[in-house]
Amino acid sequence: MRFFIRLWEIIIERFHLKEFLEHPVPRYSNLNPLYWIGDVAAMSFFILAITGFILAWLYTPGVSTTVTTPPDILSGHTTAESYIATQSYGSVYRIMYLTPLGFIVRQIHLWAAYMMIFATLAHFFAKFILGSYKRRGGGALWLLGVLLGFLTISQAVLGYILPLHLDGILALQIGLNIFRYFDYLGIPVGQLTLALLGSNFVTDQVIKIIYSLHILIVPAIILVLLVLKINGILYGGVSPPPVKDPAAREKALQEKEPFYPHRFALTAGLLFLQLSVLLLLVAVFPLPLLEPWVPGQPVPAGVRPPWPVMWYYTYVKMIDPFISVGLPFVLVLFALVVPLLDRNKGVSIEERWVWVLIALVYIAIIGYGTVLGYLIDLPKEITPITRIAVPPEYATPYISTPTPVGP
Amino acid sequence: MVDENRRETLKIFIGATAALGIGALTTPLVGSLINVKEMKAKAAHGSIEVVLCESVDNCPEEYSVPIDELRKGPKFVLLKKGTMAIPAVFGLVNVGGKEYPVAYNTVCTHFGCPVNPSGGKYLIGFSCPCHGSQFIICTNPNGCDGHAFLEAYVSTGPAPQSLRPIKVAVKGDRVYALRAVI
Repeated sequence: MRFFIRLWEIIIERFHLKEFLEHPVPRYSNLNPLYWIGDVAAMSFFILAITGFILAWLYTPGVSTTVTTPPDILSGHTTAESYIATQSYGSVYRIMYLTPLGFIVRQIHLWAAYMMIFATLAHFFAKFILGSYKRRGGGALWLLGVLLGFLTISQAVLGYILPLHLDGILALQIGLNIFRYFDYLGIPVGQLTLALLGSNFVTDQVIKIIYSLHILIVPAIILVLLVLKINGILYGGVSPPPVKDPAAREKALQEKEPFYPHRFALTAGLLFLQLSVLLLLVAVFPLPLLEPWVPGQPVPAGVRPPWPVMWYYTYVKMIDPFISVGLPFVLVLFALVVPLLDRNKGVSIEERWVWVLIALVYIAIIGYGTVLGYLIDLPKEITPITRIAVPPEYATPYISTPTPVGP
Repeated sequence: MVDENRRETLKIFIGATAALGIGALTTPLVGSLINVKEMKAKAAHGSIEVVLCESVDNCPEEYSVPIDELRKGPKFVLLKKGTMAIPAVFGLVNVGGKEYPVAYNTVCTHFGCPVNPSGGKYLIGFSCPCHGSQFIICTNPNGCDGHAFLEAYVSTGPAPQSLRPIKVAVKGDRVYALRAVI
C-alpha cells in the first residue's frame, strides 16, 4: 500500500499534475448549469470512443450480399429464418443478437451519440446566450466549438450509415447526391464525389472510406480540437459571469476553487449521472436494428431520418431544394461569424438582448423543423416559393435509340 | 557562438525543401483542378456520361440481360465500371403492342435515393420512396410535352429533372447497356 501511495506521489510530482489539479476554477462556473453542458459533451465522446472500440472488433464493412441462417438460440425457435443482407448488416446483426452483451454495447453507443449531439447543441446555445466569445481568446474557442459541432453531426451521420440498414443506405445515397445541386451553380460536386470516392452509388470502397472516416479520421480531428479547446479554457479561463454590475462581476471573477476536488467531483458526478441515464434509456427505449437493405430490392416509402437531421429533412421538403440544400452551410457560416458581428462589450442578458433573441431564433429554426418533421406528413410544397425548374441546358436528354424487339 | 555561414546554409536547405514540397503538393492539385474544368465542360452539367461499351459487339455479358427474362418483369443490374457502381433497371416498355427495351439509372435526380420500378410485366415508370417523386416513361413516339420518347420524366414530386437514362442496344437475345449517365 505504502508503495502505491509513494508511486502516486511520484507521478503527481514528476508530471507536474499538482499544478493541473490545483488549477483555480471560478466558483460561479461550478454553480451555473450553463457551464456544465460542455463537460457532458466531452465525456460522451470518451464513452463513444470506448464502446466504438469494442464494436469495431466485430464490425465488417462490405456491400456484398450473403444469405445467412443464424443459429436462433436467443428466441428459442427451432426453425431459424434465413435472411439476405449485406456483409455490414450481417456483422451488426451478429453484434446485436448473437454476441453476449453486444446488444447493450451497441445501444449505449447509439444513445451516447444522441446524447453527445444534444449536449453539443445545448452547449452551443448556452455559450451563444452567455456571449462567451467576447472575452480574450473566446473567439478562437468559439471557432473550435463550431467546428467540433459540425464534426459531431458528421460523425453521427457516418455512424448511421455503417450498418447499411434501410435508413442508413438512404442516408448514404442522399449524402452522396444531395450536394450535386451545387452542380447547377457551376461547382462540380458530382465529379468531386467521383474523384474522391470513386462512385456515387454504394460500393465496398465507399463503405470502407466511410468506416475509416468514422473510426479514425474524424475522431482524431475531434480529439485534437478538443485538447486545443481544453487547453484554451485552462489558460484563458471560462466565460465571464452574465452580470451587469461591474463590482459584482469582479467579485465573482475573484472567487476561485481548485479544480480538484471541486470541479473534478462535479464532472465525475455528471459522468455517473450520464452513465445511469444511458443505461436507463437502453433499458426502457432499446432501439431495434432497422430493416436490412439489399441492392435492387424495392425500398418502402415513408422512411424518415433520425432526429439530429430531421429539421433539415423538413426544410428541404418544405422549401425548394435549390434554396434549402445550402441551409446547413448558412447556419454554420453564420455561427462562425457571430463573434465578428457581435462586438458589444456587455455580457449580461439586458445588455445584449438582441443577440439572445437571435440565438432563440436560431434554436427555433432547428427546433421548429424537428418538431414539424415528426408531427405532420409534409405535403410536397407548403410554402409559396415555387419550384425552380432546371435550366434546359442542364437537363440530361434521353440518349437511347428506340428500337422494338420481338415480333 | 553562432556560425553565421552554417546558419545560412541551413536556411537555404530548409527554404529549398519547403519550395520543393509546396511545388510537389500543388502541381497535382492544380493539374486536377484543370482536369475538373475539362470534365465539367464535357459533362452535361450535373450529369456525367460513362461509356460502358464502345459497341454492342464487344460488350461483356455482365452489362446485359436476356430479353426472355425482361418479359417476366423489370430486372435490376448493378453495372460495375472501374470503381463505379451504377444501379440500373432494365425493362420492356409496351407501346401499342411493340416492346421497346429500356434501362435507367435508378438514382433519383432529387436527392439520390434508389427508385422503385412500377408496373407489372411492362415497365411504366418509377417512384421514389424518400420524397415521393414519380417518374413516368413517355410512350408517345412523338414525345410528351417536351420530353423525348421513352424518357422517364417527372410527373409529380420534387425531382428537378428526368431519370438519368442508359443507352441500350439489342444483340441476339440479350439487351446490352452501352452508355450510362450518372
